[in-house]
Amino acid sequence: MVDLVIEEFIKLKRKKITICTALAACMFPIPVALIVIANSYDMKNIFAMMVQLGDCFMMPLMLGMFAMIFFYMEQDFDTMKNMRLIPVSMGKWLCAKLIVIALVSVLYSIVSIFASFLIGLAVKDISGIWSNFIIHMLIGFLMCAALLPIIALIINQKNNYIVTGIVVFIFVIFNFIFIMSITKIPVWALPFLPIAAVYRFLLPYTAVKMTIYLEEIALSGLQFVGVMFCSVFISVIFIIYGFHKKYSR
Amino acid sequence: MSEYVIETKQLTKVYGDQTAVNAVNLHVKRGQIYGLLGRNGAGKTTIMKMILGLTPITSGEADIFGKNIKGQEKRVYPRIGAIIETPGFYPNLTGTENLEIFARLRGTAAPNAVKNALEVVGLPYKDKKLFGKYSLGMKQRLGIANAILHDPELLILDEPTNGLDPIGIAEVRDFIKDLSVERGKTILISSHILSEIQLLADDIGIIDHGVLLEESSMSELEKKNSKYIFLQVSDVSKAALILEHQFQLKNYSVQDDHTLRLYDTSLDMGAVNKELVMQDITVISSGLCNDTLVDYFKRITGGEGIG
Repeated sequence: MVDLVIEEFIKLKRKKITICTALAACMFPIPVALIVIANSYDMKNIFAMMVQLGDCFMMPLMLGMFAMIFFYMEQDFDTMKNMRLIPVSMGKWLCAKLIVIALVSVLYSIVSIFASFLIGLAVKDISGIWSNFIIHMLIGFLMCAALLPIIALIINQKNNYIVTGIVVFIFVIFNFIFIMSITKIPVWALPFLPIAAVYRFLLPYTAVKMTIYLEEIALSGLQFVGVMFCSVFISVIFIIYGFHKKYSR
Repeated sequence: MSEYVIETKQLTKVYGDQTAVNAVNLHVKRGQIYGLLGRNGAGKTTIMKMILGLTPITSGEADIFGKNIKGQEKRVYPRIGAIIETPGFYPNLTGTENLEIFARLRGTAAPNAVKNALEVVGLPYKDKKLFGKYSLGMKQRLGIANAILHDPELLILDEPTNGLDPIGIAEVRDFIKDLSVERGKTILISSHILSEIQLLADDIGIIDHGVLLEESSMSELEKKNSKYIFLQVSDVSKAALILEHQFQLKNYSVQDDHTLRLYDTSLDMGAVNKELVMQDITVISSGLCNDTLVDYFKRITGGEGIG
């Protein structure tokens, strides 16, 4: 399995999407920094902005596009027959792909927190950097789980970049609208908005100031586990179905 | 141990209303090169895909090393190297990087497997050129390198000389021949170029519109189709005796009750005709025939389209 994960990473060498994702992670904090410096925000504000705009918008958008290209590679370049003739276990291969996406998600988060740290240095406030680091890492893992519905769509689609790209964009935007508007969403609807669910769960740790309203809309641990379990469970079923249909002999 | 490394029984593939491969019975002998000859679209690649399990079989069986491949992939695939259609590799990686991925996934133990495979096909090792920039010939060579990387017992090569220049074709041909003769590999190779198959194959299968029209050894096929004297007589048995005793001719074949083929074209036909007539055998017709394998192929497939 480790070999498979390593080989999947090697396949990303020199790919434009890898470079774009890395650049997005590094460059996105620049406009955030400009806003922070212009408004003399403190670390709490910096962190809250990075979570809202970076982790809940930019990261899932980039990861969605990355996942699309990453899963379509074998069909695009006709390398599936080589994999089958080795033979590589399709189940292990799927797991390796998902592990790579999770690791890329975490790496993106690490770059995010590093960017927050640099911005904090610029405004001379790096308080709470370690707790922020842990929360960013957690967001990295959770955002990968939140993207499973997108991955399920990618696997069940034929290599249609336009349709899949539009759906990824709509999915992320939709979640982002609910995050920014801080609308009360019924818990039963949240499995379909997993990015918003992650944000709601981490609200007590990321909000600049917890108000009574924010406390009402924040998800408890149990609610969050229930919501994510539903989202992940349904996504995994579709992922397994789509993978089997696409790649079984 | 079975004589046949690959054996298919009534192998059939149907796509919707179209029968791409129809009840093919193929026999690839151990240590031999089997040439599968047919026009583009005849069904060669489909047969290879079914043999390898890359596409499901509609009906019939395909055995490799005496076993059905289904469920035995982990045991059988390490013994096979294959190129099917255009070789598929990652264009953002170099040739060496591509092969290293597949070598590691295979668990290829040989330390210089990638280097050796690239040397054999004439590609540079650790070159910086990305696969996306390769010419068709280089891509094909890399595909061959990938197929031989793990030193398999059986090679299944779908038009391996496709896109190669004449020197490259000759090199690959010599290399394939060497694999069979020197190293005892079994090779199933497909082509639409008769001359390539003629130079390489020990056995040949001619396929057209999904049907295996003929399967025989190359020597048998050439015998059928070399220059010969066509002789039609009233009494074949008597004529054969006269030819053997009077003209010491051994190299002939009886086609039917009235027809002989004489493969020694230096015979004095005037003397033969005279002797036969003197022995009360009517010579209905005689003449020199110059059939080629291409003509033979056209005759049995009923058309054009073979190089």
